[in-house]
Order: sequence, then structure tokens, then C-alpha cells
Amino acid sequence: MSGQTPDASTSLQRLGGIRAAAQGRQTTVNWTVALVVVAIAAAIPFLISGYILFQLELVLIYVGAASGLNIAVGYAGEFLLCQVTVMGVAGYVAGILNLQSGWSPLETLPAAILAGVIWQLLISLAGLRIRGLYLGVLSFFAVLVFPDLVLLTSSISGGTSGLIGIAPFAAAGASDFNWLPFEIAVAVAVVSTVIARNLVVSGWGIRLRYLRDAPNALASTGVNVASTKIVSYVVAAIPGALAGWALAYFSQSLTSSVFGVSLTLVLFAGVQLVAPGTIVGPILGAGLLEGYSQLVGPFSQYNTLGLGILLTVVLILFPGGLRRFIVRGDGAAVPPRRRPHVETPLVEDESPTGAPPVNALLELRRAHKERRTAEAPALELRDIVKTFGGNRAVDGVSLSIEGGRIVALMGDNGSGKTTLINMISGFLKPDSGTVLINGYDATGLAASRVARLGCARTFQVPQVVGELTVRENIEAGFLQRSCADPAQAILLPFRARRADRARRQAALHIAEEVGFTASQMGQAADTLPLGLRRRLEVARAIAHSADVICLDEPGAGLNADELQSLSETLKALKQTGEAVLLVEHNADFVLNTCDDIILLRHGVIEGVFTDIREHDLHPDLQRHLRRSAVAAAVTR
Amino acid sequence: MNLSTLGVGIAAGLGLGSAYGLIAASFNLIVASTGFFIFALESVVSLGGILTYVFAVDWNLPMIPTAILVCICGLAVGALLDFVAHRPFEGRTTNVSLYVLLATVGLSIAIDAGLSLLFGDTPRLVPGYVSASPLVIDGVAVNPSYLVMIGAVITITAVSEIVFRRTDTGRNLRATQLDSEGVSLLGLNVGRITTGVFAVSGGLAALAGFLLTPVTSAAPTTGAALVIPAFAALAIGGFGSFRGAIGGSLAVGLVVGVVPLYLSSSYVNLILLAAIGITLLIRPQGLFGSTSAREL
Repeated sequence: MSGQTPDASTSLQRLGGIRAAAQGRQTTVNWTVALVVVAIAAAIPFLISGYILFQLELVLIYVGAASGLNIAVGYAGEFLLCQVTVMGVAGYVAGILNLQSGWSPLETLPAAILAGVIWQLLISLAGLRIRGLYLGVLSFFAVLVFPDLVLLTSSISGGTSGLIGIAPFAAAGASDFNWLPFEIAVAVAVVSTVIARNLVVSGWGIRLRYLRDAPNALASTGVNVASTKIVSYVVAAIPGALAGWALAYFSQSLTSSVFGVSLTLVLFAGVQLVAPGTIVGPILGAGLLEGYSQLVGPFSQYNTLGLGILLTVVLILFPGGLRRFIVRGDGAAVPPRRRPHVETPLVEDESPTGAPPVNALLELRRAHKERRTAEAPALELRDIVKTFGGNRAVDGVSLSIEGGRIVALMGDNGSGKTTLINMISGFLKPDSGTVLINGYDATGLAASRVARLGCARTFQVPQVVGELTVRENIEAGFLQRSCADPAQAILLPFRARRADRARRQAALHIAEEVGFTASQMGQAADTLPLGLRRRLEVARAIAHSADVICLDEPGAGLNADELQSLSETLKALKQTGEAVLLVEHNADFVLNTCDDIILLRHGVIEGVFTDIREHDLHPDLQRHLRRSAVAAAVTR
Repeated sequence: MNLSTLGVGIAAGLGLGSAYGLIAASFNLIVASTGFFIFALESVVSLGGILTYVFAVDWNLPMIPTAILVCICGLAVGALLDFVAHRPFEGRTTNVSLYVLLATVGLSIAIDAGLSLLFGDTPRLVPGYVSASPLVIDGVAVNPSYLVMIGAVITITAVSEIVFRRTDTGRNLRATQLDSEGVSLLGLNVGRITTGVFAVSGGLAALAGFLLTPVTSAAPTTGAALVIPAFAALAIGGFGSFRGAIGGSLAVGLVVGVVPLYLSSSYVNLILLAAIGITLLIRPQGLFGSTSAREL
């Protein structure tokens, strides 16, 4: 069991680590475990020597590369299979610079990382446009053509005979021969893990998971989806490049076959095997798989055979990774998770100096409210037209909504309500007409840019990230304003933490405002009933400081109590001056909640009824409400 | 470089294009009716070639029964793929098509490794199903088996187009791709439809393996070498479009046939990869396609 020693020796502790991570208790306990693991790993070269040391070095750097890949695959859900080619490009660049120009390892390091990142971007650029499925195939092809690339550059890369004679980190026989390369391998693994960890504990952890599970919601909070993807690609490539750089010096020679299908499987299946989207998952997974690889020999057909079967079997048996299997033996599809509520006061009313608390985000929101003037209506539509094929779904709608009003958009199915909401929030482009948000032209802008003008929306099927807590989901609304840039999050985690703390506090504030109890704050969103998930989306929209909030069928599927509390949330919102536009069928809910009702029919406004009072309704409105009540009764 | 060399290149390119077309058609059938990309079909192509060797050389069967047996085996393997690499994911993950892709990539790698352990890596010569002597057309030698492949591609495309556009089965298949839940609510057995499509795709892939043997011989690596050109053909032609796949296959075939005349053949796959990337970036729906590769 040569290849597995560093993992096997501490696997029990690490399983404990996984269990803790799954429950969300991420930091304190794990720090100790992590330090112990690193200390043990660092001591290994002083205890053993020989070929096994080289094999362990490989295990360590592949663990690092898998940790990077986990950012793209596990957290961001972008299925990149080309991590080995990033390693390959970085390794070859380091090796060639060493051989041709005699650069030292320290000098080749930045060049290798740069080359790896550029290669990654070249391959994954198409991912900005295509579905994950095709990105998966495309990036796998990068692995298949990598040998051709090496062949074409034979004059410098050595082609099929390999790149031979790279100077090692420490010369044979030197006093540091045994430990220096190994400690570098440990450093690669540690640095890669820290990069991944620092990024995901910052706001980026939320942002990446939103990209994976609810990209439309991410856009509707003003975050640019494409740039989020690019960050995940770049950060994923850095540990890969580090590993490739180290590999060049470890093996002192490179051939393209190293960066082939087997290693792809080790890395990818390593991420997928135990717990994708956790820090420990790839460490265990890639460690075990590379251990197996070294055991049967990396170039043996049995290696590819075994890894291929393993990937398939693991995917079939445990689509979410072995974690489920480890954490709960009963194989429940979605085990109910409940994160222990962190015992911090809801609002830190006292800062250490005793001065009144200043939370930049809350201040911003307050300032935003005060700045809100009556000059331009929060939302104005001018003559909006949208056709699908020959069907005029929306046919010249003009309306305007002031701040502090709750307006219902009613009408039969197919009258263009949701289409209108989609056009306001930037998910559809109108054929003609103008959308003004706070007086700014938002027509035809991308959803994230519309959101930045001050528009937020919710979705018929609530788009929240199930594995994040209530508080973290609300934090998503702040991300566009309060997300440290990725370099800062990774390199200066303590400075990034400050922004995180402010955001967390602000989110708790808003959670309290919309009526989440203290114990619900730390609960994972997938354990919430539908009503609370709807309210969570509203809270996220509030966090985004939106002036216009569009709600798409907020009442669907809610019981009377849930409707009542949603109604109260919205009415409270009105007090702070937001304009709310909602699409809703439930007449009681609308009459109970809304100020105005706009009736749509075949894409045209049939009537606008202001200051609704339940006992004094316009006959047209009465007719519509009766009809929809009958329709509702029939479908029920 | 004289004109007749270019002619040889173009002839070879068109021949290769028809081979890619065969494989693209089997991938496309599943894409068009379920939206899945079944990577493991490339292994079925290799398997088809190897089975051809087993039946024709080891068992000494004549060519027609060999072809039929190979197709039957392909049908069975295709159906098996549905049970192994698709059904387990239905209803258990949010992104079924991605898991199907990953599982079939894993399977494909395992099958290829298994085949090379059982059969060996060296390609083995299979007697041709048509005369081995080349036809000379206008001074350019053409392998006659390419003509058979071109005929097969055109037939398969025509039949697929007719089935998908004109028959109830085809309408059900297209509806399944768009909204499988809705189709099952209408009382159609989506599971059975899908298994059928997987089986037919497997059969087509195995047939492609059989038809390719005069060109590639029987080897466990045949399919893997063809998957990039076939995918490029689909990306260029538009995923799910049968006519687009033919156009894409011919375009890719010409690149593969003509590029080695001027540059090192190692450029071929890189050029194809770049073509796929650029096409998907600029026109995700493919050059000839009209419906977009759905992003949402």
C-alpha cells in the first residue's frame, strides 16, 4: 500500500473532518487536524527514503491539482476535464525554460503558472457560451490532443522521446536530496489547499455555489455570471500549474503520456469520489486514486481500466460522492442537514471601542433609501412589445410604478405576465419599447446589469442554494457590492474577512427584518419549507438594495399561514420605499397585500385599478377575480 | 504540390468524411432524441471492428452475416449503456445529462482498456467486404469501401430525417428531448423510447465499426481516434441536426484529408479543436443549425 501512507495514517481523523464539514462546522476543529496532517507529511522524508518517496511526492502534487480542480468542478459546477493539460503545459514550460535558458525553479514558477492559466482560458473560453455538457466534451478533447501539441513542438519539447535532463530541485547525493523535493511537494499540496480554502470561505464560496445551482438568481443579484466562471477557471488552473511545475523537477523528464487519460481520471474522479465541493474531499479522493495508480503502475492498462470502472461505479452508486455514504449509512437522497447556529449576537451592537456600530452595507442601504427621490418612478415601461413566432405575447404595455407601492399583475394564463417580468429583469429582450429603472434605460441589458440598476426578482421555483444556510443565501444579495476580489480573498484572507463579517452582520439584520428566527439563520436552505424559501428570495432581493422587486407567483403552493406571513413581509417592505411588482393568481392574497392591480389580457393592459379596497372593487376586476377563482377551483 | 495530389487529398477527405458521418450519426441520434452525449459510443465503434474480426476471421463467417451479427451486438450494447449509464441517474441528480456524459467517459475509458487487454493493441487486418483494388476515378484512386460508407451515411441520414420529421415515432422522440416529463404524462413510455434510441445508436456505431474495418483494420483504438472529428462535425453542423452532421462531416473530412498534404498531420486535431471551440463560442447552434444548443 505504498502510495497511500500519508492519507491512510490519518484517514480516521480526516473522516471526522468530513463529517464536521458536512455539518458545517468547518474551521476550529479542522485547523488542528490540518496542522497535524501537515506536520506528519513534513516529517515523512526524515523517516523513509527511496522510490516510495517519489511516489508520495506525486500523490501530494496530484492532491494539490485536484484541490484546484474542485473549485471549478465541485464548487462552481463547471465540468472541466482538462486539468492535466494545464499541468502538462506548466510542466513543459518549466522544463523547457530550465533546459534551454537554465532558469532556476523560482524563475520558472511564475512562467509556468502564467502559461497554465492562459492555456486553461484558451480551452474553457467556449464554456462562457455553451452548456456544461459540451464544455465537458471540449475540455476532454484538450486531453486527447495534448500529445499532438507536444509532437508539434518537438524541437523544444523533445516530442515522443520526451523532455530529458531537467535539473532536479536537489542534486543526487546532496544533503537536501531527500527532503527538499518532498517538502516542496508538501508545500504544493498545502498551498493549493489553502488557495481553494481561502477562496471558498470568502464571499466567493457563495458566489461559486450560486453559479452551480442557481445561475439565474446570481445574475438577478447583479453579479456577472461570465466573470464568475472565468475566476473559477483561473483559480482552478493555478494549483494545476503548480503541480505541473513541481512534476517537471521531480521526474526530471516529461513525456506527453503522463498527462493523459489516466491522470485525468485520477484528478476528476478524485474530486467526484468523496465529497465534491468540500476542501477535504479531493485530498482524500485524489490521494486514494493516485495511491491505486502507483500501486498498479500509472502506465498499465489495468490502471485505466480500474479508474474508468471506478468513476462509473462511483457516479452510479453515489452521485453526490461517498460523503453521503460516510455521513449517513441509510443512503437518504438528501439527508436533512442542520447547521448548528453560531452563537453570535444577531447584531453586534458594540464595537470594541464602544462606538456605535458602523456596517458599511447597512449604511449603504440606508443612504440608498434616503437618496431615493420622487423624480423618476422606480419602474416605468413604455410600449413594450414581445412576440414569440407569430404570437404577440406582450402587445404595447406601458405602465409606471412608484416606490412604496405593491402592484399586482393579474390576468389569465398566457396573458403575458411572466413574459413582462422576464423582460423587466433582463432575462428576455423586448422587440420594441423601453424599460426604465429609476429613470435609467434598462432595455435589452443583460440580467446582471439590470439588477445593478436596482431591480431584483424572485422565481416561480425558488432559486436558492440548498446547501447554503439562510444567512449565506441572503448574503448572495450583497455579493455584487461586497465580494473581495479573488486575489485578495486568496492572498490576504484576513482583510477579506472584514468584508465578510460586515456582510454576515448585514444579512442577519435583513433575515431578522423579514422574520427569520435566530435558529433558522443557520439552517440549510434545502431543509426549509417552500414558504420560507420564497421569503428567503425576498430577503435576498432586499439585501441587493433593489428599488424594484419583481415577484413571480410568490403565493403558488403556499398555505394560508405562509401566505399571511409573506403578505406581512411585503407590507413591511413597502414602508422602506421599495416598489414591488408581483404576478399572482390568488385573489385573497392580492387584495390583502397590494395597493394597485394591473389587469392584463392577451398581452394588453385591460385595466389599472389603484388603491384597492376589498369591498369597493371595480366591476371588471370583480369579474376577473371571480373567473380566476373558478379556474383555481377547477384545477384544484 | 500538383493538382492530382490535392485530388487524392480531397478524395481521401470525402471518404473520411463519410466515416465521420457514420459515427456522427450515431452520436446525433441520441442527442436529437434525448439531449445526451454518449461518449462510450466511440468504444462501440472499436468493438464493432473487433467483432468483425472475430466473426469474419476467427469464425470464418461470410460478410453479410458478420455485418448482421455485429449490428445485433451493437444494439445490445447500446441498450446496456442505457441501463448502466443513464437510468441510474434519472431522478437522482439535478443534471442528468452531465452525469451521463461523465459515466460514459469513464465507461468508455474502461472498455477501451479492457479491449486492448483482451485483443491487444496491434491492429489486425480484416478481409474487405468489397474488392480491395482501388477504383480509379479521373486519375485519382478511391478506396471502394468509402463509396459503401457514403451510401450508408446518406441512407441513414435520409431515414433519420424522415423518421424524425414525418412519423409519430419521430415526433415522440423530438418531444422527449424537449420535455421528457411532459411526454411521460401523455402516457408514452419514455423509458422504453430512450432504451430504443440507445440501442439503435449502439447498432449504428457498431455498423460504423464494421464498415470502417477495410480502412482502419480492427483495433481497440479505432473509435477514440474518430471521436474528435465526429464531435467537430456535430458542433459545426449543429447538435441534433442530421443534415448538418453530413455537412459538418464532409467539412471535417476535407480538413483531415487536405491538411496533412501541407502541414504535419499533428496539426489536424488541434485545428479541429480550435474549430470546435470557435464555432461553439460564436454560434453555439452550429454553422448549419438553426435551433440553439439550449443553455438554460
